[in-house]
Amino acid sequence: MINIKQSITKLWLETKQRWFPSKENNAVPLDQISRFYQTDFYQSLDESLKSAFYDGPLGGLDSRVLARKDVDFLSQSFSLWQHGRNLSCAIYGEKGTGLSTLLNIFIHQLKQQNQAYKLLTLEKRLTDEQDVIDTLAKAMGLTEGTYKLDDFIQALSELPSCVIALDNLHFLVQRTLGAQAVIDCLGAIILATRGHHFWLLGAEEQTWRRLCYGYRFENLISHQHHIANFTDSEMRDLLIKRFAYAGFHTINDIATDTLHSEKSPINDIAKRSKGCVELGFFYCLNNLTYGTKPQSLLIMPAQEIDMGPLKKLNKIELFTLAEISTHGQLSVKEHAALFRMSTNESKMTLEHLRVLGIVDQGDEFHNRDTYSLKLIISAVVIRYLISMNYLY
Amino acid sequence: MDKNIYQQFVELFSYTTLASIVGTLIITWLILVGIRWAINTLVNYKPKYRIQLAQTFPVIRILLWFAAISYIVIGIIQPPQSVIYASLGSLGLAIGLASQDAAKNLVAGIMMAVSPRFKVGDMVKVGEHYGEVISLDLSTTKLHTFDDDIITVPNADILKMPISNSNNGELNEMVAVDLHLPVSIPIAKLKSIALDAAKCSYYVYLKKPIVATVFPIFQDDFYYHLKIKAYVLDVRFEKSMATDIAERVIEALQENDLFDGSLFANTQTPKDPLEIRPSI
Repeated sequence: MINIKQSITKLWLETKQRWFPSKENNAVPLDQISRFYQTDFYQSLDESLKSAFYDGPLGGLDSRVLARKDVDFLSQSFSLWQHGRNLSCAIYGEKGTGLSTLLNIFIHQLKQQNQAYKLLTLEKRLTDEQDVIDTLAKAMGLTEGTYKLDDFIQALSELPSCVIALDNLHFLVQRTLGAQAVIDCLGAIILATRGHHFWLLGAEEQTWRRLCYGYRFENLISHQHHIANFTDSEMRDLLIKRFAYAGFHTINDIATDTLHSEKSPINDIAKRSKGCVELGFFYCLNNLTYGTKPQSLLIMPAQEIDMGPLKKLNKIELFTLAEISTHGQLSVKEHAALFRMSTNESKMTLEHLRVLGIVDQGDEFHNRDTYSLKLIISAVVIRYLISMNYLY
Repeated sequence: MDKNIYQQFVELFSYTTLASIVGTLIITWLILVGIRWAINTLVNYKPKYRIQLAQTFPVIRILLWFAAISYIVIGIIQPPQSVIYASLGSLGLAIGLASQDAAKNLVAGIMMAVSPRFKVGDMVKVGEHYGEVISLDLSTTKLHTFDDDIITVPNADILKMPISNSNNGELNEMVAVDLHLPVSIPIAKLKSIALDAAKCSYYVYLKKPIVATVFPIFQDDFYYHLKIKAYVLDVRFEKSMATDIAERVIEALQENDLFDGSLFANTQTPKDPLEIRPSI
């Protein structure tokens, strides 16, 4: 009887493996991704490869920068404002799509035109009306702590006209009492001065959605622009250019000049990375071996990421990830207040997510108490949360 | 004549015919099990669309059984017309006499599949029972209440009763949180805190509006009836959201020294001072 049961179980498992092969056996564990950059394998790679596959733009090499459609939007909006249109502007996109890079490129253009500008990168959550005024006053070179809202608007209007670029808008998001007052204050300042100053705001997509759904933020901004994710072909071109930049011109015995076909090994990586540059870089470096010919590489087929740990998370952990994605980052104290739990319980929840390799903890230079989504898998995690109806 | 029909009837059911009928029924049942498994797999893969996916099964089941029975009668048994008429008459009489209620429920189940009043996954109130519809069978409907009870309601009863459906096929639904509070709290401050507290709850679906209203009510003494209406992200979090908002409002009032927690200390407590219920 036992033999029959064992035989049936074995037959079932073999049939299941034959028709529904488990991807997770061959998948890359989430925590391995975070450890990759500390592995001996990564350290043994050529310096040229490591420097080519870093998470910044390669000057004019990347097609996305060369396409300039996002920069053009900013230039056109700015031009309209210069010609008397009372407008303000916001750009938003998924984490890692080059939001800050785009702002810097635009600022660089302004410098070349000798146009006055102030780039304000928020570094902490704004807690109340006075905090908003003081932060903006400091950035604009005004005295902190001396203004109320009306005085500050007056003072701002008397300053020479300039571009005010506000980055890291996720520090405006908070699910605490008084959050509305922060948004109302900033909104009043933007609306009252947008004829005089050109306001340019940058936010991650989930942050922007939260600001719009929760606080009707879109009413403050006349021109919005969504920075699209990298398409498969854009990603493929970017990766090929990075290999060429590192001095490797032959991949899987194919010259990089002819790698742009649909069947190239890079194309598989481009598809799997789903628009996330960091993930594409990881796949490239994790799957390569040096070829026998000089300056040649062999790229193995990319493996799936093991999403098993995500599927095992409980309700609070999934909500935690959703809130981290909209808040940009959460400290233990913020998490405890948001989820109405003790700080120890919050610490445990966040640490569990960190151990699983889903979130990163701030380092000693960037607030060790905060946790943010691991950049390399943030796009994958956000898509999972949307499909599970924890994000919208 | 009657004997002749009886003989024809018996002759129709050879061993081969019976085996074919049983085979068809088993295959139909297996197909339905397969479809249910596929739908459940899809629901686990895309929980966001669980209501849309789950509502397809009752219709598919009726269609498949109808097709199977039609095939058995027309394709396998192939009875002469006289036998069909005689069988239908006898069957009708038997069903009518022996299983009035079951037949009523069956007919009601078919009517509900054709013209659904709610879908699997909806939060409905049937009579005094409120819960999530977890199954729509041919004769009964099952509700999963917040007390973790499974309530089985005959379909014929459902057709007779008024049904309130909280989400009507959507995952989000409006939830009303009612609080009775002392009149010493300034109304503007109360409304502001109520709206802020609702936005703080991570269960709230912010794409839809949040409304707070305050009405003065007299019952032995004056008090304020605060009603907060907000949409919950997923119907399954309905009670969690309502409790979360109520607790946040009370905590915020206490932090602002507007409420000392001694609800109606000097008055007779009105019935159900902290009432949390879904909006209907």
